[in-house]
Amino acid sequence: MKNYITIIGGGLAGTEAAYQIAKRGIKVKLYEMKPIKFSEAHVNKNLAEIVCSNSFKSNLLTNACGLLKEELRRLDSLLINIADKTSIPAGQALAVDREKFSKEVSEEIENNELIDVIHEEVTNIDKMIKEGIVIIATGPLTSEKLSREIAKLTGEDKLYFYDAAAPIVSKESINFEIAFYGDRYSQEKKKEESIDKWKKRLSNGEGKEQSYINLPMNKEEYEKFYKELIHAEVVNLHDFEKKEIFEGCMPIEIMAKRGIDTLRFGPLKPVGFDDPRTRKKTVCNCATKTR
Amino acid sequence: MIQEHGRRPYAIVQLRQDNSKASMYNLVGFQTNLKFGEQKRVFSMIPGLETAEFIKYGVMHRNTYINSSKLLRETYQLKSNPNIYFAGQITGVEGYVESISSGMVASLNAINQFKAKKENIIFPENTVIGALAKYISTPNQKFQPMNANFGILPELKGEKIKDKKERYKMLADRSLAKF
Repeated sequence: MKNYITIIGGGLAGTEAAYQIAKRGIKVKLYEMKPIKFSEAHVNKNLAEIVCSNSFKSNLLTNACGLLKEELRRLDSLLINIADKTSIPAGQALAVDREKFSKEVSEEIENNELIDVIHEEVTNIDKMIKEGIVIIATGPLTSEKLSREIAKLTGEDKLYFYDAAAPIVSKESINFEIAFYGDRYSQEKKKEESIDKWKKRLSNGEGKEQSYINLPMNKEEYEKFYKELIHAEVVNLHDFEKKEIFEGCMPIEIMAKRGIDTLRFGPLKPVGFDDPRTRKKTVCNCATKTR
Repeated sequence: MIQEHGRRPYAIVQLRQDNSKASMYNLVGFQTNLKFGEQKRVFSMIPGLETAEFIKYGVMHRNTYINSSKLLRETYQLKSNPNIYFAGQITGVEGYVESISSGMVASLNAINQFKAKKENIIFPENTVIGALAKYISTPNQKFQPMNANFGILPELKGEKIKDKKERYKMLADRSLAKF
């Protein structure tokens, strides 16, 4: 066992870990591939470079991320302390001057006598692991070579994923005057069910019915939404992302641009649903037909 | 025979349950590359989502992360090799502060291991730090990156508090009492 702990990756997680370890008198070897090699998104030579937004989100304790920051302050987090120190006005959020932030973190880490920062790309982790404890903190843009190493280590065959996530909303913020529970087809009013019973079933979401919530749209609502959707502003993708992006997962705004009804035949298909807001009377012929 | 029922809507947006507690729902088929502000503006036009709280926005970018739900312990340590820890977004925590949180937990455990102390540093599930560690290390067939949110904390005991602010304040108090 070596007399130090190895950390791979000098981002937010790696630098915080390095500080905590050194603070307790243990030596650290921190590997960072910049400035020898840059990922597709990183541009400067500093440690703890902030690539996306400069906001660390809310500082309010009534926000989970704000609470998390307070928990970390109480554990003497170097990075949150520096974020506080380099903050810029942003209302209730903690936003930082990203240059100052990364620079201060770099200085703090590089000037720490117990931390040895080594600027090289790690491509073989086997040896390091045999020698002692290793913390792998290589981030969402881990280099290809190292990704393969990690995949080997974890026994998984793939490590790259395309995050094609849809938004998530909290249930308590949904307006249930309009929304109703139920799976496609099973949500429809059953023949033997009274209107009242049916509505009750949809607003309570009994048992497994809770797995879907449905938001019905009429023609006018749909068309208004459609128009805004196809004209809404998109995020500029880094070049590296453009190449592969449309293989498996098509963004809803791209699908929508194919035609006004494309979504209604795709993810927004209304088949198998009755809208409990509306009422309709129909003559049912089914009984006579079977006779 | 006259049947009474609802009309088939013109279109339907479906939300799918996203966590076991059914406190979060994703918009089915709404993977998107719209700017966050635009997502809020346009998706809030969907009837029923007028005042929706977006816990997470849709994103499209390359993301490298391991299947922590299968591979890691609550200490961010690799189950199959205790000398290896993971930290940061590669573990499936999402966000700057969340990354810092994972670096904190992984290093505290690595330190104990280095000093040949047997005890693990596991934060209570009532804290956000602990809840994130618990989330990434809990078996999950559809493991997906997660950021800090109150949906991953255990609910408060006793009667449900209707006022959101009040409830969050109590969750915060409950957590900070542990520090």
